[in-house]
Order: sequence, then C-alpha cells, then structure tokens
Amino acid sequence: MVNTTDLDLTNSGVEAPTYRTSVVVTPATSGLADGGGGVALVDRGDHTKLMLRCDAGSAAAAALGVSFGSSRITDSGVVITGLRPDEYWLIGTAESVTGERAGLPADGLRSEVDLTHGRTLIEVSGPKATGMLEKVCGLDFSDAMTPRGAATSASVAKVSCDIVRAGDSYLVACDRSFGQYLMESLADAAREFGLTLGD
Amino acid sequence: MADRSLRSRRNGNGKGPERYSAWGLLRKGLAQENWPRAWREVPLRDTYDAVIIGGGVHGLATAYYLAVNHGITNVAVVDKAYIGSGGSGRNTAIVRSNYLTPEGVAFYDRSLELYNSMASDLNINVMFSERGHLTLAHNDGAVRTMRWRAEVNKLQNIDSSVIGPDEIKKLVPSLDTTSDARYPIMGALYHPPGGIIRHDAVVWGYARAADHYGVEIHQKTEVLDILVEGGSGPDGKGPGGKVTGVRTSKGDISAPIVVNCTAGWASLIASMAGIKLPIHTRPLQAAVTEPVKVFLPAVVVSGSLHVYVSQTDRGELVFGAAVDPFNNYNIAGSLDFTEGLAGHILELMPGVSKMRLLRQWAGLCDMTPDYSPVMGFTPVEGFLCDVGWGTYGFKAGPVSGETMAECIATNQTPKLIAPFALDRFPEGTLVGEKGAASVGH
Amino acid sequence: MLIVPCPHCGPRNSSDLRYVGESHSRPDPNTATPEQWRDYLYMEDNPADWLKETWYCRSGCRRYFTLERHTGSNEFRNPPIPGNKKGTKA
Ligand SMILES: Cc1cc2nc3c(=O)[nH]c(=O)nc-3n(C[C@H](O)[C@H](O)[C@H](O)COP(=O)(O)OP(=O)(O)OC[C@H]3O[C@@H](n4cnc5c(N)ncnc54)[C@H](O)[C@@H]3O)c2cc1C
Ligand SMILES: [Zn+2]
Repeated sequence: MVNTTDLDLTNSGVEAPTYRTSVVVTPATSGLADGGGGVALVDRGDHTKLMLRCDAGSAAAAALGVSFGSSRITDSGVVITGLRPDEYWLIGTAESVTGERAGLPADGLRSEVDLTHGRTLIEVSGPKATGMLEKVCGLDFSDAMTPRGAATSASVAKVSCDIVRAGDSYLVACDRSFGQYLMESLADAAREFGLTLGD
Repeated sequence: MADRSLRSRRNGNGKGPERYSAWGLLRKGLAQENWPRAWREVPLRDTYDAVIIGGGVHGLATAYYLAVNHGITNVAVVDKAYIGSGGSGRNTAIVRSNYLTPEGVAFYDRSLELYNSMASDLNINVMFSERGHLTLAHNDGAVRTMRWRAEVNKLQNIDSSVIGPDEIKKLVPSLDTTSDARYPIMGALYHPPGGIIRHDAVVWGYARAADHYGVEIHQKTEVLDILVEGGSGPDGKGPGGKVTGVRTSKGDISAPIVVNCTAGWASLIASMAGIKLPIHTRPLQAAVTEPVKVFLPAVVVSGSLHVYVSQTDRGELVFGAAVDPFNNYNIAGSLDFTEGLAGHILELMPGVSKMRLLRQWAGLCDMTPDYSPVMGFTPVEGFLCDVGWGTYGFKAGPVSGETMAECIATNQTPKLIAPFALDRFPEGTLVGEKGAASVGH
Repeated sequence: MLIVPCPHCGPRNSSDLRYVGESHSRPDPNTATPEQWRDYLYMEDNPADWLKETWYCRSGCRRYFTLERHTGSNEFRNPPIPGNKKGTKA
C-alpha cells in the first residue's frame, strides 16, 4: 500500500511522487488487518485507467476484443473491459496501456479520457474474496452469473463501482472521492475472514 | 364562527352522544355497562346533498365542518374499508406549522389552532402533546434554509428559531452532537408548538361528532364510478361536465356535490370523473420499537438522513423516513427500508443500537410536484378535491375540513386554500414548499 | 427489495437504479402551448395497474429504458433478458 501522508514533500531531498492515490492507510484500516489472508486488499490506484467510448460495432471495439460484460487480459498485462454498452476501460501500467492504445485502429469516432487520477482501484483477492464481496454488494457472484472475466457495475457498500473478475482476483473501482471510504468499508467487511493489506 | 362544542349542541331528538369523562369511565367500569356505538350504521340512501369519498381525517373533518359551521347535514361519507384505514390511521402523527412558504405557514398554523382546542370541541381525548419539534441541519446549506424558514415563521407569529448544537444537546441529550459524527449536527430549527397527537382518536372524534349532527358514515362502501354529464370526454366525463352522483358497491347515489378525499387513491377516483391529477402514489413506511423508559422529549427530524423519530407516551420510538423510491400501491414494506432507517437513526442516536423494532408498516401517499395539496374546485362542476396530501397531510386535517366545507357551502374558494388550486399546474404557479415538506411527516 | 430487470445488466436491486417515472411522449417544444407543456411536466395517469415507466441504471450500465410493471403486484411484464451479457461465460 502506498502511504503518502507521511511523506514530507518539501525538503526530503526525494523527488516528490507525481501521483498520489486516493487511499491512505489509516488506523481505521490497518487496525483491522490481522494478516490472516482470507481476503487481501491492495490499493491499485496508481494503475493507469483509460476510458474509451466508442460504438460497440466500431473497428476500435473489435480491436479491443471484448464485448459489454466481459474482459480479457492482454499479453502485456493490460485488463481490457467492456464495462458499459459503449464504454471500455484499459487498466495496467502506463507503458502497457499506451502500448495497447497504439495498436487500436485510428479511424472511427471515439473518445478517450485518462481517468487514472479520477478513479480509485482496489484489488480484492484471496480465498474468501467472493464471500466478502457478497456481504457488501447485491450481485450474484456465482460462476454462472459472474464468471471469470465478467465485467460489470453495481453498488458496493452503497458506492457505485465497476467490478471486474480478472483472473483470481476482483478489481473494484469507484470515483476517487469515495476511495477512502470504499477501502475502509471493504476492510471492515473482510475482517471476519482474516484481512491482509498491501501488496 | 359557530359554537363547535358538543356540550352546547344537541341534535334533533335532544340526545347528544354520550359525554366521555373520567366519571363516566368509572361508573361504567363499576356497573359493567357497555359503551354505546360512537356512530350509527344506517342503510345507504339513494340521494344526498353531498357525498364525501374517503373516511380519513380529511373526509370526516369536511363532513363535520359542513354540519357544524354551515348546517349542511344531509351528507354521506363513504369508505371502501373502515374509517382511518388509509394514511389517517397509519401516520406518525406529527403536527407542526413551521413551513417555508407564507401560504403554507398560514394554513398549517390554523390547523394547529384547531388541534389545540380539539379535545374539548369534540369531547375526546386526542392526547395532543406539544413537546417541541427539531429539524436538524447537518451542513451549511441546511442551516441557511433553517434561518430562512425561521424568519418566514416569525413574520407570521410562529414560535420558531434556529438553535446551536449546545442547546440541542440540552434539549435532547441522546443526540450525538459531536463534531466528528458522519453527519455532524450544526444546528436545528426549533419549533416548540410542534408535537404529536393520537391519530385514531382524531378520526374517531370527527366521526362521532359528524354523526351526531346527522352525517352518515358508510364503511365498506366502495366508490366504483363517478356519474358525470356533459363533459368533453368521449364518455361525457371530464372538463365541462357536471357531477350527478356516484356508483358504489352498495348502489347508486345521486348527489350534486362529490368530494374526493382519498389521498393515495386520489388519481383513481379523479379518473372516474375524467380528471387527471399531478399526483403519483408512493408508499411511506414507518416502524416502531419496543417500549422503553421515556428519554426523548422532542420530535427530532433529519432531512439529510431522511429519518425522523418521536417517543410515544407508552415509550415506543416511532420512526419514519422518506417515501419509497418508485410509484406503488403495494404497502408490503421492504427490508431495505428497515436497514436504511436503522443505519440512519444510529448516526443520530448511537445509544439506541440495542433496541428492537417491533413493527413496520406503510401507507399510501399522494405526492405532488410541489409538495403542496390540490384543493377545491376542478373542471368538473360539483366534483371537488382535497388531495395531494403526500406525507404531511395529517396535521392539515382540521383546517382542510374547515376550508373545504366553506368552499362547498359558499361555492367560493376560501383565501387560505386559493394557492392550492388545481389550475396552478396549467398556469405554472406552483408552490415552493419542497424545502420544508420533503421529509415524510 | 424490488429486483428490476435491466435490459443490459440483467436483474438488479432497485437501489442500483433511479426511478424516473411514468413514460410519456414529449410534445414538440417548438409547437406545444405552455398548457400542453405543463400537462406533460406535471400530470400523471398513476394507475393501480400496468404502468409503462422509465428507469435509469445508475450504478450499472447508465442507460435509460422503459419497462412495464404492475403497481399493485410489482410484477414486470415481459422482462427483458440481456443478450450478450457475459462475453466469456464458461
Ligand atoms: C407512515 C406515514 C407517516 C405519516 N406521518 C405523518 C405525520 O407525521 N404528520 C402528518 O401531518 N402527516 C403524516 N402522514 C400523511 C398523512 O397520514 C396523510 O396525508 C393523511 O392521513 C391523509 O388523510 P386523508 O383523510 O386525506 O386520506 P386517508 O386517511 O388515506 O383516507 C383515504 C380513504 O379513502 C378510502 N378510499 C380509497 N379509495 C376509495 C374508493 N374507491 N371508495 C371509497 N373509499 C375509498 C380509503 O379506504 C381511505 O380510508 C403520514 C403518512 C404515512 C403513510
Ligand atoms: Zn443496467
């Protein structure tokens, strides 16, 4: 977990980080972590998040290779998701997202917005991750309804979130201003399963 | 104004309704006597001077004031179920007059005045408890609105002021007034004359008194259609038409005046006359806890948290909230309401976390776009409305009855209800009461 | 909790959606009289029956759509079933 509150940015001699995530570890969250490992929460706020809007039938959408409700992970490690009928997200490191973007066809109308700073992204993993999410979200997380690769949106702890079941973990994203609250709510929900914080 | 006291008025046969008194209670208890019926059950006749649809506080009060203030007694109040089965028997019984618009304040203040003298006027214990009413402000915007309301109120001689957290804590020690609460309490609009009342007693009191003056109350009598002639609609109903009577489950009645006092069902009745209303029907849910020792001296309302609470004389906490989020005639209630309610009340009063809810229920509310009623004449002659009472109409029962009765008797719209006429919608002159009436009580 | 069948997301808690209200066709603002316009703004059928209504999938697909629901039983008539909801369904 990136803890930026303790950094003295003025005269530390260390170059100030160019990006601060919206989530900081507070006593409220760290006090809940017992390292039990049933659920692991990792702040992935520093991942690049590129929102791309285009028609589902467009060449760009075809190149992205996902439809609404699904996702895939590229060789470069970028998670490409179809989060809404005409909205796609590319999530990964800055270089890899730039790389994937460069590969998209140039033609056709679309809009792209880098929302890295606008969104909080939390990775939820561990054997009890699904059980924990079921406590705070109304979705049916069974394999039949939310299989691996599923991309969807719903409220999590009463915050509108995007949820991607990427590989063995879930990516949960919300607007930045709710990020701290979401992290604390997830930590609270994870407590009974044994919580590990950080990466 | 006519003398409204049951003590001094007796009906034709010289026998008034039996007076309720402590002595009567004792005597009847000792003698094991039965109580007489509080109102008669008579066969439905086929003609009346006026038919009032809906036996809630509005319909019954209208009938009562028609009889007492205007001598119009050939009146039937019809209800498809039993009287008080609608919102009037389901509300959380909060009465107050600290509204936001001058029109609203004047109107509700008159109602409070009538509530104050009701116990003696109707000779029934309505258990009116003027315990004070606090509307909490959790942010600067809300504090500003409270100040605005307080000033509007003071101009009309309503006891209403803004108080700070310290004074709030003194009045209601169980509130969390610390500044690190999630919704910190920054101030409150304090309205000492606000309070709670026994809603059933109000309904029964009006019914008993109206019956005494000759009004007939017909329960289990459902209105199935409204008879209209000469209207512009294909079936002869609608604007330009004239009411001739109603069709009920117990037969047709002819009457030149038909009044719609059906709250949540108002649109259905209006459509029988060919009239459309600016109303949608939503359930409002409420809940009550087990009784505990009295600790909550005032009514507490939080608009931001969509919750309000008062404690009954028996010690139960009565909670209410905002209306359900979609149109519905179904009053089954929902678990998410209870969850939300509990969460919100604990933000305000962490100390009640161990209390158990006993019951939860809902009633239908007739919501209008400007949180104000629709009262008076409609484009169908003889068809009047007293509807659109939403989540706040119980407190308005007495003054609505008084003004609707005047409207019927004089065939003119009383000044007090002129702002609430149906034609404000086509004319675009809505009332701006949303700020003060959008929390459900 | 009312479960609303979103044509895109599938069944969702109604708290994930926003209720917009009765669906009425909007008169042409260029030709409508003020009275017609206000009639469109304020007047409602409010039936205790089947009702065509608009919902907004606030926490899901963020689309507006029309559904038919019975305001007494809360049943949805012909609920839509999302087509390609989960692309990688196993
Ligand atoms: C949970 C809840 C809490 C509330 N809290 C407050 C509060 O604290 N303070 C406040 O001022 N207000 C409150 N209200 C609002 C208040 O209860 C109503 O506005 C008020 O009671 C409406 O009274 P009424 O006489 O117009 O209608 P109702 O009491 O609803 O009566 C309408 C009657 O019409 C009858 N009817 C319907 N259709 C037909 C038909 N076809 N034929 C014959 N009869 C018919 C019904 O059976 C019913 O008895 C609350 C409401 C609810 C539901
Ligand atoms: Zn949706």
